[in-house]
Amino acid sequence: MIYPPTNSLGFPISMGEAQITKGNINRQIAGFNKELEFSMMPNVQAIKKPTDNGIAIGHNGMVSHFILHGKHTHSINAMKIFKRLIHIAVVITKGMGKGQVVLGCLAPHPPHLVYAENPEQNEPFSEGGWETLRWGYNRLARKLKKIDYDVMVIFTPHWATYIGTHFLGLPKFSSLSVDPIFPNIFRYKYDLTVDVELAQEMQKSASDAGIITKMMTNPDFRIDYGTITSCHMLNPEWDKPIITISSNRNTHYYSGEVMNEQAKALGEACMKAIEKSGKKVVLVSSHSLSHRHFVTESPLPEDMSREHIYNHSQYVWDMKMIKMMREGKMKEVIEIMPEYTEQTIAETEAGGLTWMMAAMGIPNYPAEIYGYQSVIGTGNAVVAWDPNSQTREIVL
Amino acid sequence: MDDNQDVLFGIYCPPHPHPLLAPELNDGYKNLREAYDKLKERIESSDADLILIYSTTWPSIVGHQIQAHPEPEWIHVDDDFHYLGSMPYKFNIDSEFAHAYREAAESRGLHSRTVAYDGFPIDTGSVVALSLLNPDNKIPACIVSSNMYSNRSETMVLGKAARDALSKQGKKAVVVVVASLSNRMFTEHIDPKDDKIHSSKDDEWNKKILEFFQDGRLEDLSQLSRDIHGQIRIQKVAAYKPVWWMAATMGQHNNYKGEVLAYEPLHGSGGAVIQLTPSDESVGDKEFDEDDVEYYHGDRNVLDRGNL
Repeated sequence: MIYPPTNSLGFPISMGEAQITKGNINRQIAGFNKELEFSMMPNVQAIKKPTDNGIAIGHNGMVSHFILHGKHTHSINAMKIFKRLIHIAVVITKGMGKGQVVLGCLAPHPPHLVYAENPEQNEPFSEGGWETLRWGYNRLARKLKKIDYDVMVIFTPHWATYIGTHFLGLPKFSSLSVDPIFPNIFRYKYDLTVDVELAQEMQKSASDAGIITKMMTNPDFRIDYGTITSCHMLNPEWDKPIITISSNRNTHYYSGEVMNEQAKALGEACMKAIEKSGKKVVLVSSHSLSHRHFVTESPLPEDMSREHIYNHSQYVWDMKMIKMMREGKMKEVIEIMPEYTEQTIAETEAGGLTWMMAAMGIPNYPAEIYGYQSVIGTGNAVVAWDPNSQTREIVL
Repeated sequence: MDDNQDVLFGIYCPPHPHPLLAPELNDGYKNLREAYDKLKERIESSDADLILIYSTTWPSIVGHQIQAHPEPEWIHVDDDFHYLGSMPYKFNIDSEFAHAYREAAESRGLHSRTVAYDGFPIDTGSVVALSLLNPDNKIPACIVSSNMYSNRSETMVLGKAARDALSKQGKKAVVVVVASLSNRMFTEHIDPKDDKIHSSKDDEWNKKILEFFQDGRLEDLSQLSRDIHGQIRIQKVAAYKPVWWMAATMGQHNNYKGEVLAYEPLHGSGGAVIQLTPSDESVGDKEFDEDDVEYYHGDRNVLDRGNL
């Protein structure tokens, strides 16, 4: 048996144009189809090409074994190379193509924050307010600008569904969102795109996991203000597609414990879909922490002299949760979630944080804390989980 | 019946969109639709100046919101039942009454405000009720929200404020409460042909409530609201409030003629279309243990009082 010489990676160096070295793997993979064509071709240039199994000398002077396959003879060397290429390509493309969550964000959605920012899309005008949260959001938005991602997937309490979990299923939505609770401060014209392909993959993955699901394909459907507020604060340019996932109200129908389990299952199903998609995804869990509102509003909503947490108990609970987030104890946060939700009427009742943590494999690294402040009595924290230890920061 | 009644009659009807969008899917949905149609004719032939709606699918937080846009117009889609279709609407709202109602509510200690914004999302229950009961906008309407934190005293005072506003403006109204009876739906998608009440317990409670309605025992139902909330209501909000508001608005007694026009399942929940008309006949009042309240003083802040 005569084997061709190989390079350090085990590739034959007698491939002519198809040579692969450490330095040009990417180029080779990029031109993979071309290489396949080349390597699959019978060695037509071989001199004295045998018509049956045997040995011959190729055009480059190499001795090669030939085998008969169908009507043609093929160089055994070429076929080995072909097989090796296939193997390498599969391994590398699998590694390169596996989708991932590149950032998870706890992104509260009081419409007051958009109101205070005075974007052109929102009709009412404000004199500011809630700076601690807004500046935290602004900083997180700057971080997001440096992260390469394809789509933002958001779980919202303000698309509440009782019959399963629903996913936005049309590529474009453009309309006016008026907050039913605070119409005086939020009347926002939106124009957004949806990654329907990934939404469908998530829906299928969740359905395969036994979760009741539905794609939302009614073009008249109005996007909830939770989605709009969180997405606007994280990406005011709206230059990335989004996916909105509705919140199934298991807490109302069953208990906080059932909510936790269902949200975990949904998160794991979404993670599978993301990995399969090959996309880089930012997850957004859109909600406050403690969620008891004042039932009156000051004449000027942005009058910060009126703003404080509803009661001290809510504050203490919120601080407990943030401390655990800061310490990377998300497993413990999930475990305590039903109790926390009940004690503080927390908006975690919708399942968003549990969903996001499950989709991120329950992070055990410190969260980035960007800010905490009350809005009309509720407790709100802007927090991020960065899986990349190189870019993870201690923000506050 | 007293000719000077501010409320001509009351209607209790469900918020689900099926009778509006898909009555053909199930005989029950069709029955409900026919009941709405009958009431539509009764409203048209009544002497009503106003249709006043209290909707449990319009939750508010900042006090009590009252729709005041004279012609709200939109295409509404339900969060759960979006696949049944869209609900385009354009309603005729009595803005003058809306403002009078807000003033009456505030004078009874309630925090209240009117809303009049283009594109404001009118809730599914109100859209269904107004579209079926007043399709041609022959009678002006008004809609009031259901505050998610409010409990009995606040809701009772809100109802009494509605009565104040009607009296002050000298208007005769048909009041409409939009609410399910039992409100537990199936949590999976079902073939509409297989629709049924979610459980026998829900069904039995619903039928008991319907007996009370049939007998005109509105105040008795009002007194039972806390039990109803605990037994057959999903705990989304603090309490089962619609009958409190209805009794406070129409009159806190049992002097009514009741008619249950339809009772059918709506994805597992109990949907009933009921008419209550003030009457001289009564099954009699009982000894009630819930306090009456005229003015809302806010939460009593029992925690601040310490161990008395």
